[in-house]
Amino acid sequence: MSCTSATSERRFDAWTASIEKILNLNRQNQVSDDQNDTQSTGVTQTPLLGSDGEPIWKVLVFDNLGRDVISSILQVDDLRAWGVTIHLYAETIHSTPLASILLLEELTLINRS
Amino acid sequence: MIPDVPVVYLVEPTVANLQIINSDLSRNLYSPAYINFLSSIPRPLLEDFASQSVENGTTEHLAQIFDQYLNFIVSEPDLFSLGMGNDSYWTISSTKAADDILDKYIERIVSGLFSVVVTMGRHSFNSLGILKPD
Repeated sequence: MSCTSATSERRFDAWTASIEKILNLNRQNQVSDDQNDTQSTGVTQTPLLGSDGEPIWKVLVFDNLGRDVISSILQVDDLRAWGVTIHLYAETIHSTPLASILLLEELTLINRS
Repeated sequence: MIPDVPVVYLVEPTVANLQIINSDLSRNLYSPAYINFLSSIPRPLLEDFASQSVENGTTEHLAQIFDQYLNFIVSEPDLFSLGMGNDSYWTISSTKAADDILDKYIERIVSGLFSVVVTMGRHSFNSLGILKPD
């Protein structure tokens, strides 16, 4: 019975790792820094960093179910840490508000300067 | 248009979503595009999407297309939900539900459970662990 909590944590980590891998653009598994830690499951991922040390910025688009899947594990702040600059709702793409487009433009200018 | 913004799609493989993706890419909104389907995309839909991409000339923007088998929601380490809505129980138990609606529900349940097993087996060190009696 005592092994079930470790097993369920591992399952949760496995599910978390699947989503993080998607946000890492499905690159090879990035192992966290505490690889020497024997307690670590070794499947957790870290954000993929670009050449300038910042996470690779990307737009995340999802629909109803995608939003439910992501929101149960990542908050908006976590998304920023993973390099998601803006998240859009698939059904409202055609009516993207002007403010969102301006946000993307500002980030591009900052990245280029 | 702002060039070189990568986009990650995490959507269900429906006809409507694929149309949105194709229209986004043909408007050169993003590049490259990483498309992740929450469940497995049926072959005919994939072929339609591919031929649309070729027609629109957007194939160079497609970096990856993956089936992620993630069409379930995990709220606690030991609890998952298939996200099928509040009225699913009522519909399935009702005597008035049409056969094709029931079939759709069953398909969704099977797909969701399959995704749970696949995801657990993908990273789990002991993939048979879930079959052991507690």
